[in-house]
Formats: sequence, C-alpha cells, structure tokens
Amino acid sequence: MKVIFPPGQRSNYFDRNAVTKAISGATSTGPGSAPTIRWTYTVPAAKKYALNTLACRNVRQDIGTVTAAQTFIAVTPAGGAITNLCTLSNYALERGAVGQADFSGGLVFMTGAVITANTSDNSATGNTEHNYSMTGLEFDA
Amino acid sequence: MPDPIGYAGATAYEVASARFGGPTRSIERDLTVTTTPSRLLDNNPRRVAWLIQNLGAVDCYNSDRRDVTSVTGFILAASGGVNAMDVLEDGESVAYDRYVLCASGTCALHILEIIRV
Repeated sequence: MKVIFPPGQRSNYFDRNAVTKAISGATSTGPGSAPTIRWTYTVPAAKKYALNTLACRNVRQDIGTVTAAQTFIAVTPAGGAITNLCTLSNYALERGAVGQADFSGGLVFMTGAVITANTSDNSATGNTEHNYSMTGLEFDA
Repeated sequence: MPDPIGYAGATAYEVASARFGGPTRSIERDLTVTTTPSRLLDNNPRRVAWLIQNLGAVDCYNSDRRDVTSVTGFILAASGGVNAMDVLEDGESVAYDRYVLCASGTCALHILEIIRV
C-alpha cells in the first residue's frame, strides 16, 4: 500500500495569523538617570516577529551639562547577547535640542527574543523627554 | 495471448492483459466522509487497484477494519494526500472492503478504482 503525503505547502508569513505589534512610550528623565528599561516585548512561543520600524527621540527640556542623554532599543535573542538595534545619543546641551534615530527594515526575531526600550541621562543637570517606539508583525513560526 | 475482443495492437490493452489477465476499466467517484466510519470501498474481487485522494482540509484514516479510528487506520493526509493499493504489490487485500473516517467535521475524497472487466 502506498501512503503519499502532499508536498509541503506554507502560506506567506503575513498570512500566518499575523498580528501587528506596535509599542511606544514616553518618559521624562532627570539628571543622572541610570539606564532604565521602559518597555519589553518578548517574542512568544511558536511565533516570530518581523520588525518594521524603530524610532528613538529625545529632547532636552533644560540646559544640560557635560554629557549625553541616551534613548535606545535593544534585543536579546534567545541564548544570545544583548545587541542595540537603534541608538540615540544626544550630546547637545542647550534647551530644546532634539535628537532622533530611526530604523526601518526587515529583521525577523525568533521565539524568545526580548526587545527592550531603554533610556539614560548622564547629564548633571536638567531633564530630558524621551520617546521610543517599535512596529512589526507577529506571526506563526 | 488470445485476443477475444479484437484489441490487438492497443498497447494499454496488451499491458493490462499481461498484467491482470484481461482488460480493465476505471470507476471514479466522490465521497464525503464524517467522523463516523463509513464504507469507502465495497468488497469486489475484480478490483485490481484503487487510489484515494483527500480533497478536504482535515486528515482522514482508512483501514479494512470496520471500527477504524484515528489511531488504528492509515492516514490520508489533508489537502492532497493519497493512499493507493495495487494487486501486484498488495495481493488480494486490494479487493477487501475498506472503511474511512475523518478527524473532524466532514471531508471530501475522490476515489479511483481499476476493475478487471
């Protein structure tokens, strides 16, 4: 008796129960703010995540002193080391100085990858407003 | 080989006669199966081969056992899976009754039987 299976047929990733995941946030940091995770997204079991865009922006709300305000989005793949995906270091010190870093592309992250948005401000004085966002598509692995 | 019905020179006839001892014909039909076992093929001692294709979206299971289940039958995979028997490979079991059920809901099958005339 012959038992024959049909050839593997797989739909495109965007047709595999795809759900848009758009995450954003905003916060104001004071001087001497240590690196802090603002949001976390973990690629669920049996899913993958196709990253479309990242955006990091910060604005000096007061005159800064000495050094950078950082806004960055990083990924830690399952079993791997943390790697920055989008890094903004704003060295401008005057009030209202805007820094912006964007990314758009087609990275795909596997199950268990952890993506975080982070802020820090090493300035000795003044506050900084940070914005950090990500869009992408979560789909069946 | 004698040629009682005058098909000499017809290659398919000659091959079928050599293989099965005479001409054959095909019967094609469709069957919708459910989660309750139903008869897929009747017992027919003149059948020399059969082939079933699963046109539905769920797996089916078939056996010559009347009480076939999803763990006691041969899988007939969804979306184009095929099961087939040929008398030269499988002997007289190709002529036996055969039963089938599907994993859920209903499922469409297409059946081809090759019958010795």
